[in-house]
Amino acid sequence: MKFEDKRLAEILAEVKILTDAVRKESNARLAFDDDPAAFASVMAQEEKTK
Amino acid sequence: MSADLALKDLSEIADAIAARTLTSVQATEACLARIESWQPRTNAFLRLDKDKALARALAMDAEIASGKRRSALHGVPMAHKDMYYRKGEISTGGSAIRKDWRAPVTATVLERLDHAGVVELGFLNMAEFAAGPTGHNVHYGHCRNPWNGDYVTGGSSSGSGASVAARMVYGALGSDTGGSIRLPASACGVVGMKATYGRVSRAGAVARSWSLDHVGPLTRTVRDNARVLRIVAGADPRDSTASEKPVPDYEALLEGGVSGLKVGVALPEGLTPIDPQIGAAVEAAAATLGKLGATISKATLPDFNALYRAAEVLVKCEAAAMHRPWIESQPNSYANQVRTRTEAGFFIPATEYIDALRLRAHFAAEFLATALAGIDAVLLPAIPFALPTIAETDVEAAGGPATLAMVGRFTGLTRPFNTLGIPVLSVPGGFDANGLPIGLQLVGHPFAEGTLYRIGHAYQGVTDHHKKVPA
Repeated sequence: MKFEDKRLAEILAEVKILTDAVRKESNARLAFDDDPAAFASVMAQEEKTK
Repeated sequence: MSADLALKDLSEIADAIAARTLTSVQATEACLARIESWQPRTNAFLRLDKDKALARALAMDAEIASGKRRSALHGVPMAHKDMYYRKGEISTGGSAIRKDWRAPVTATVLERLDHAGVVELGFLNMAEFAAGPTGHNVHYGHCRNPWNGDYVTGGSSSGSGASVAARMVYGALGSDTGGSIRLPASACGVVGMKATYGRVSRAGAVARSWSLDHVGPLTRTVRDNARVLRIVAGADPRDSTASEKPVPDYEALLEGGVSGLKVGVALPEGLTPIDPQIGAAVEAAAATLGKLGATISKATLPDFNALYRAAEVLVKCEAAAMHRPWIESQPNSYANQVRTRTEAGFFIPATEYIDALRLRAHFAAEFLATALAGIDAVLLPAIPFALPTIAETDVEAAGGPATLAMVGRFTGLTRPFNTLGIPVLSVPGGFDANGLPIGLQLVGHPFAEGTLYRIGHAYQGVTDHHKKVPA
């Protein structure tokens, strides 16, 4: 997959914004044992029936 | 056939069919007459099968005559976003790439509606591969807002919003990866439910992002929505993310009122400032709920930008993976704005993608412990500004950064809740200065769709935004 220089620069700028944002949150929150599947557990455990 | 029949709500029609004061054929003919006059104005339908719908309606009437009623949706005409597969039939996903493609399986949600006795009128316009928040579609023509054809419908479930608002159908399925049920519901003045992630099976539906996709109904009233969700929700061996939690009878919960419930109000800036007239509609809705007995407070929300960016990482990486063969082999078959939105996914490191997945549990737990702590629902706008026109939001030629900016403006207040996976109900909350609808979001606890329906139903009981019909 090839991109013209201008388009490639736009894409890489977008990637930087996104990866910087995720890294900032990851550095603040994630630990070695964090599991991607934990999200489903949060949904199930935090169920609130009214 | 009386056109007035098409103006009745889904629940009224279903109950009349059950009581044998109306036939499914009559209801179907009323919708077909309405479609004939409104399709040219909205372009909501991609395919309509009159003969099949009438044959099905006749069969459903025969069952009622013999004493068999399949469900609370028996005999009701609906249509769906053209991304739900029906075995052997064309399913475009709003794309040129799949314009002649025939599905090898039937979507679980369509199987459930079939079993419930629903009459399928056809399939509805949508953004290409469910990627687009406005209703633009360069392949099949843009979908147009029934309230004013110059304006956007919202997307990606554009035809679902437009067809329900224009009273062409009594209800429709949409899907929501970053707001694609709530945006058209808001822009067209109808009710949309993005239920908890996993509440409704995604099997047999075109994916935009496996981690963020939600299937759900768009209807005219909250009652109608509750009735449809009960039918389509539930465990599904074909979708490992589908929850096995029992599905409540949401409709039975509607009359509980809001007395004793706590609603937090938020006007977050997100990626776009909130237009004062949108903010005023939210404040007015909060005051209405307060008068009905709800306790109103100010909600404190987290940084929406972080939630938004995490969702962007997930959707771009997953979309890039699924679209790579076509983007490599036939890039020009995509709309410019759809392809350029996906391209960053080829460059995001896997570590950041995995971290975005790992962050979701933290984000969700923190939201439940803060924004939703001690309250039942958060009330906020769906779209933070007055609706723009189709021309004003046409970024096809510009692509790239212009597309990202436009998408960010539209989905800044909706996409964060796809990251969180919690349920959100969109209800009509008034009209802007141009006479276009304003939508409200009610955000709740995981699997507490019934509470959101209860609040929305109480609100619709004392407001008439949802009763107004495009002329």
